[in-house]
Amino acid sequence: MESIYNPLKLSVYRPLFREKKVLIIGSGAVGSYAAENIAKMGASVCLVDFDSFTLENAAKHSGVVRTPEDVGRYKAICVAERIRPLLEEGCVSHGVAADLCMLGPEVIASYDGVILCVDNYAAKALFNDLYMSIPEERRPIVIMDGTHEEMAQSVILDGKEFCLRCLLDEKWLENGAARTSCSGAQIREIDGVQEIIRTSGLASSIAANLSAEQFRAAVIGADQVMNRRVTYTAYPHFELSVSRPMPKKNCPGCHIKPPKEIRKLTGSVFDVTLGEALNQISESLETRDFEIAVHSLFYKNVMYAGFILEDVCHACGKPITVMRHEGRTFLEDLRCEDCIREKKHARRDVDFPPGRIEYALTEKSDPRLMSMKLFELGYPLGAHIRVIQRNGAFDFLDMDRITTTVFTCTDDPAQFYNVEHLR
Amino acid sequence: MSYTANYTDEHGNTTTVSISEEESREALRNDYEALIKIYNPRYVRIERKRAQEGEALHLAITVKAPSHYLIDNNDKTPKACQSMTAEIIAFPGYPLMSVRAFYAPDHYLASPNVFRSGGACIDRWVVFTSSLLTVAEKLIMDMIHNPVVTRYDSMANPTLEEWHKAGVARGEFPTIRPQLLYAPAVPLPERRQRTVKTPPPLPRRRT
Repeated sequence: MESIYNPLKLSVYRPLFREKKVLIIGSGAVGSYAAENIAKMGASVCLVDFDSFTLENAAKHSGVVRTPEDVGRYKAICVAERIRPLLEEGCVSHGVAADLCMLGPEVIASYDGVILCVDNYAAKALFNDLYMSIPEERRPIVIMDGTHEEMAQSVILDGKEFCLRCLLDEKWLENGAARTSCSGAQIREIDGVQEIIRTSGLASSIAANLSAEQFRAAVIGADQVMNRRVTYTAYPHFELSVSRPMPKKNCPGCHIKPPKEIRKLTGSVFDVTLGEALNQISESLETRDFEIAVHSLFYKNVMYAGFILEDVCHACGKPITVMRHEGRTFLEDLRCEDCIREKKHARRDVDFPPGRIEYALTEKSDPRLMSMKLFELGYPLGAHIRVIQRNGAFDFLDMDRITTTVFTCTDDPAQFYNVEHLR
Repeated sequence: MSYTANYTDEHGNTTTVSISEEESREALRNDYEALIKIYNPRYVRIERKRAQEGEALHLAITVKAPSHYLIDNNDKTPKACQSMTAEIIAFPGYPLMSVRAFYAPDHYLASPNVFRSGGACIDRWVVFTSSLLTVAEKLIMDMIHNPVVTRYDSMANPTLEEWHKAGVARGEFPTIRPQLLYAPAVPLPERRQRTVKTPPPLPRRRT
């Protein structure tokens, strides 16, 4: 297949991008421009976003997205499809409609670069947790961008000097789900009245351009690129400046330590059942005396670390079978079929007794779990699966006996290209 | 691997805290060691049970004092007994992860704060405020029906609210003096004898 571009008119560095794979998280105002830029640079692009386009997005997203034809389509899938004709020969673009909670560290580690174009701090903090769980030598470069009024910013880091969390004020995370940008909350209060901080499509596109430039500079190996923040200030104080962010004191993100060793499980979380995982782990550890910790997810200030087997209907109080991970269970999911049919809502005012929740999975776990796939049990694609060996310890007070080994499914990163929706 | 949770200080400032697995285990050990020193073994027995899969620590706390129990989820008539046992399970990730507390479903404490399934209502878990110690204290005081810790607005078993209030009004609750449950204060170590002789006093100035 012949390239659609004339190589004589393109950058001499273009061949360096051919093998690069970039993951873009968020495919809206900034993400769609970033995807277009990276595709035109000659790299492969993968996009993730759970949201879909609405008509009001047209003022900000890249011109590759068509209006009104693309209204209602999943942003990630749509942008990936629209940039496909722009790709260099041999490159791919793929979009996945998914929440970031569905991704694990190993999927992120399989990319050369990640551009984070999300508009809320909860997602940024979650991404940082995943990123810092990757062993340092396998961490991709990360670029986080955003806007504030007409200002645009982009930060590039390799996770060695500081983490993304160092760039976030902890106060911004109190309401982490609120829409924000890289430089502060997108709502400000003047004399007790809240107002939305407006930003233009131009600022968003400049943020994406800054990210693309930082990626380009990192790939060609330019000096003093890594761990820098580039800020564009619009007229009347027009300026383009570069600064070096500092690590934050007592940063909880920097405190996260990646596992020392990660062992492999054959297959992916989509096809390996709990029973198969237990067999593979027992072969690897040469013992059957272990337990698999249920996936723990800290998102929007809540820790989800259990798998709900049974609970009571949160509308009528009748016992129900749930079989879902806590992090994937909403209050409305805790209703019996009768209440769903009668459209009764789950009650928030009643303190129901806790259901039957598993925190670890073993051969002795409920037999219904054995045939469930790891993804159904709550492990995200590319998860680090924690296996605890007690080695005869009476409990966790026998600290010296307990060992933890981390496993991951080898096919997870590849499987990411086979899905369009993760839910 | 680390565990993360939000911590809100006394000024209302919230920060996220991450702890490693080792730090979690150390916190558990520290709290357990503190717990076993607080109570008088004559009245409160704290016993370690073998932790099952997914559990970090499993404790059984028995209070040897008059109490009342129910036998199933339809039972509404509290029956007297001379001791009561509650169990506490701490999970990996403690103290950022909450603990679970419960009674045997066929012999559970008659209290407005105990669900009919036997689960104990231990209030919201507040990171770095709630701990094994605060939960054990609540359970132990509940077992002697000390009204100081009873939440009458709990949804757990409101049918026992009147019964509990009547017991308090009659002066029957708490069933023993709560002070008896605590370990007697450890006396300070004896003062060492002086090893250096005090020099003789200086002669007084003549007036």
